[in-house]
Amino acid sequence: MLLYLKRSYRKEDLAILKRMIRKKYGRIEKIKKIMQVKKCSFPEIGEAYLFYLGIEDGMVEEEVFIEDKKVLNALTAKRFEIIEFLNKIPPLSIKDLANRLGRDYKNVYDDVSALSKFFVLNSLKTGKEIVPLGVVEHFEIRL
Amino acid sequence: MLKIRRYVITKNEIVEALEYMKGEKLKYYIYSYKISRGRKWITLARWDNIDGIEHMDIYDENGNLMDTREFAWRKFDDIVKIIKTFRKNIIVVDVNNL
Repeated sequence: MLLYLKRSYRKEDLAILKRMIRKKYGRIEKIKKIMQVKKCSFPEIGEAYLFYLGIEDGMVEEEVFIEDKKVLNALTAKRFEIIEFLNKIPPLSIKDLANRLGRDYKNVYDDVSALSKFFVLNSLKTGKEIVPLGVVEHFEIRL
Repeated sequence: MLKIRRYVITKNEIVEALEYMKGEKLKYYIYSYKISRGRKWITLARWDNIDGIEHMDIYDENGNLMDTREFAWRKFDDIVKIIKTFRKNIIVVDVNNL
């Protein structure tokens, strides 16, 4: 069994991603300098650099292939509602998402966390908030 | 354009590709094998060309760089196959000879 999904990132998603990369590592010039000094001893910095380039192009796409069957335990009707709802709205924090869905914050937090563990959702920690990013365009289970 | 591909072996083990494309051409790539420790993902093995030289890096489970080896580019699907075969033992395998 393989669960396959394709996610795209909108301008709003990329703006949040860019803000977080800048906050953590600085502007692209600083990232390049850190890369030259630290080279491969700091693998996250190279990843930040490629994300930065993709964001500057305005084009970031993601494919996820999940082989772990335990992902099926993480898929419930309520959680599919979250995936579908997130596709229709701009990126929101879990707190705002819970408000919009009229659901308890903790339950929504647990649902987003369970989906994020398998990358069904891609959640980004932005300070105190957690924001699921991107739009799931395609979702299929392959046997 | 940045293409991300994540292959989730288990919820604690992933193989990740970041491929930066200029048109149809693959300009930069990073292929990583990562394991999770709590909420943090730690890279154990990585193949990349972002400093202009294709190579492979090996890290310990604390994320410290242990070794850098020569490595010629291979398709991400091949990297996934190799990692699925060797998992955490990938750090002691001579991948160039596979």
